[in-house]
Amino acid sequence: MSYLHPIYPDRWMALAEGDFAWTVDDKPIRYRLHTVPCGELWLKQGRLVPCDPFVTLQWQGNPELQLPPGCYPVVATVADISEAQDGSHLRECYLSLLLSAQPAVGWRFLTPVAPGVTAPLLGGHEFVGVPVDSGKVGFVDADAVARLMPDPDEMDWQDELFDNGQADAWFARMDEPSHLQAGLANIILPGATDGENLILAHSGWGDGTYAVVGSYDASGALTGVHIDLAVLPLAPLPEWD
Amino acid sequence: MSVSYFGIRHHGPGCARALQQALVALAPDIILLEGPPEADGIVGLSADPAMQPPVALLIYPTEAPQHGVFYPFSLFSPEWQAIQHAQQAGVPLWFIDLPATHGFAQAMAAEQAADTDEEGDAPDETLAAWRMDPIGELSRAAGYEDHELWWEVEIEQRRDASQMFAAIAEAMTALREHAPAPDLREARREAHMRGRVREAQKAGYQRIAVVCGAWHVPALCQVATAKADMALLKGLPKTRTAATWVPWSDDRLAYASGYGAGVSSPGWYRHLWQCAEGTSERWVTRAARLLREAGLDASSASVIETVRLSEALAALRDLPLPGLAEQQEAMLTVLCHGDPLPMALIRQQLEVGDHLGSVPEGCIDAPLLRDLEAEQKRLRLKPSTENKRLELDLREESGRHRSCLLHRLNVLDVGWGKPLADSNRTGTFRESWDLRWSPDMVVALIAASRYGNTLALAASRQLSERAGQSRHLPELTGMLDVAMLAKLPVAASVLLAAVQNQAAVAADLGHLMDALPPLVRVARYGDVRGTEAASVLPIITTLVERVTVGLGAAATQLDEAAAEVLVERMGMMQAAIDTLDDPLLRDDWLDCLQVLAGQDSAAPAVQGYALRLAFDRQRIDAAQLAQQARLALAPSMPPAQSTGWLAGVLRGSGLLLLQHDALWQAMDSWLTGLGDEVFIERLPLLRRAFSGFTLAERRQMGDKLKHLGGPQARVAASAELDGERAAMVLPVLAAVLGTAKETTQ
Repeated sequence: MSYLHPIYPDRWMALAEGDFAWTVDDKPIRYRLHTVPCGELWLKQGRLVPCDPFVTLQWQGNPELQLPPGCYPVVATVADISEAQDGSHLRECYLSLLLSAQPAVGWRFLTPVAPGVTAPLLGGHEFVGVPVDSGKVGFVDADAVARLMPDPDEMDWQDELFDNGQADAWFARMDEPSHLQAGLANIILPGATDGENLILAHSGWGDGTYAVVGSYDASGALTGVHIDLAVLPLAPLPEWD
Repeated sequence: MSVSYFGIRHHGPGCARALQQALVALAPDIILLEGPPEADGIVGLSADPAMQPPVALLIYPTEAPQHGVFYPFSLFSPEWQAIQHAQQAGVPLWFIDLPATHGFAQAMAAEQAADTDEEGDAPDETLAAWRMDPIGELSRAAGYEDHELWWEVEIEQRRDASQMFAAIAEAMTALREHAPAPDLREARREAHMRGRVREAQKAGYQRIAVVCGAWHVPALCQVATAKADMALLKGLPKTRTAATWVPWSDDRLAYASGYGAGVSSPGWYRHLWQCAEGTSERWVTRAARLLREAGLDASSASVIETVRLSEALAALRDLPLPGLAEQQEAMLTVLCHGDPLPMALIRQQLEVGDHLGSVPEGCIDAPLLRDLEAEQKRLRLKPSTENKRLELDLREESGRHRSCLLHRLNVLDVGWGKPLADSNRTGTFRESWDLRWSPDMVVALIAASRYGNTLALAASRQLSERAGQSRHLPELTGMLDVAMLAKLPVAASVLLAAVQNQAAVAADLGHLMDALPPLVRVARYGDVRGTEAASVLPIITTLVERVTVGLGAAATQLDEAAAEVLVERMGMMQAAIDTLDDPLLRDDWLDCLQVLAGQDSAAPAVQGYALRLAFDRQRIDAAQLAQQARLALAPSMPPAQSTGWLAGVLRGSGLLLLQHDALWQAMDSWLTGLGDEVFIERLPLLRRAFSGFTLAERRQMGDKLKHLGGPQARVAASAELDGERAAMVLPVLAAVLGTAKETTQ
């Protein structure tokens, strides 16, 4: 397991709220952060899949992280980056699955790998990220996807689920302001019998490869899994700027 | 003893880096640098940490600073690196170019000859003729249209620069073998540089580094006798000069200067200088950040794809690294999705940049510049090369002081701030300015130094001098207005006297009318700034009286263009009278208009406009308007006359047509009675008359046209007031007007 990095409060802002300011290239940057509870994610077997649900999610064999089974709250940290800070320009900064309420003191990159695949050896600041090509990321339970999602040979997920032109299409739910907030969605999987779901967010400034980060408390226990959507203007460690 | 020649290109980071390495390897005991010897005494200031490029050496003749020449340096200029090396190594640095004083003396003599209309030979050499573009020649020979691209490929992207200077010297030697012989000025420059090299040798320096434009290297290496060089330099005219460091800016690096042609992408070159590794990634990341700041989507995936595409393009073109052209193409394709507008932003903000350099306090040897620096600090007005809008509240002291400074600078021809056209000075106590600093504005300040050592004194004296030279009344009243705005009481009193004198003798009615609006502004708003302005009221009264007396005669015998000018002036005059709000003057003016409206000899447009102004101010009632309309638009009237009259009446607003059916019908009958040919001939003037109408007015006219003569219109016209229904709105009206209590009681 890789080295546990210290948390710099002005650089790691998952779950932070309030006004924050930085100076980058001699220019002041001010963001106002707030969190949006997105509901709970039911991980019956603890197999968390951080993914681009519209492009890379597969029926089986998704890269996953093994966590203790359970039902965990998911929270999005959203930045108001508009100049007037009037909510006119919002960007999701982190999508976080919370395992404990203990304060986090350190972090490290987590490596989602498909079952049976060995995690690659990585350099100091390399990571295996979540590839995003639809501008969205999400958390879902691997077991629930395999069990509940229809067989892709029998149903085209894109046409029938994601973008079927109906109000319950996944894309439509993402943009529905009355649901959680435009840009966030908590969607029950088709055929769910026990609330099995998928939680989605827009991915910061769009497509890219985003790091999956684990936060840890003083005892070294995992407190959360976060997709860092690279919206903050500084790297998480000063030596990486 | 050795003399090493380093032929450089100004503002080339690759060249600067190679020179830096070469100087470290050579460890010269003196550096001779192409540049003005007048700056030898101030080159040491460049070691001050407060000196932050881009900066420029300004050399100017003290008697005519406008002829001054800038020698700009950026961080990535080889010259700057040579200066820095000399400072750090503690070795002397001499500037070896031909002193600028000779060029100045020639230019001033030529100017004087032109001013006095003396016949004489036009100067056969100019500063511009000094400059050549050898890089351009080589790039053209290599088949490149863009000489920066050739330079970038051959020099900036060169990994091994050890033989670079030898290669440059060889290329230039070949080029000069086929080039025409240098002109006299160029020959003198090179003779002077050779002389300075000899001087250094004579002084006993052992390792002499000569850093000069690549073009000069072959000429400096060639064998030439000291005697021949001295003969070339004998008897050159001189004038007294001064030298100073001034802050410079990125965008100005793109222009030609004392060092010849500039670079068109200083931001890119600075990036190359600062980022030895990860050049592409960091460049595209900066572009993405810029787009995000502008609210445009720029994902990290796009950044990665842009970098990949630029690298692929470089590979296709057999380049070691992506250059600016590859970056531009990749960014346009991926990051900007083919849209040129974001690319324009990248061009302006990133490739050119908006850096403004700084020089140490007290370094600038010009009192007005120092005064400006102090004022900028005091008023917290930081100069920037970006366009910035500044809103000032003149009721606040800081707003007045800032406004005053900007007006004073404008008097001194320093256009840092431009008052915006929509600046509302008619009662809201606000001023809007567009601010943009340009480093070459210091020349105007230096030129103005002869008027005084503070901005206030210099502006006051300059305005007073202009007042003494002008015999043009509107110009004088305009200057008086400026003197009030800039709080220059001495100049204001001089101008007031000049205005009084000219107002008494001015005969041109147009000038009298043009002179009025600035005077009215002074009278009406002068006190807002704490300036006593009552003294202009008698002048205004005199001017209005003279205009009212002369307007009738001035309105006759005018063609359409001249009538349009007079109508424009009448509009300004009316606005001034309205602003002044003096009942007696207003009555005189409206009496004059009323007479003019019925004066058959007056130009039709003037007649119509006078009628309109008088009607708008209730001097003429609707019946009189209708009667005048029937007369002016009668079929017997020549169409040109009717059109002119109509254009005058309808000028600025179509409300008159909307509210007065009689006018509408008269116009309708007249228009329908025009023959096709006449209608087409008069159409441009009619269109112009209608062009001033607002969209809402035009829409209402459309509606009116639709219903005119129809049943609804007739019903509406014949409907009697329903008192009961009308009473229903009274409580709402009372609430709106705040009289609800009284009404209900």
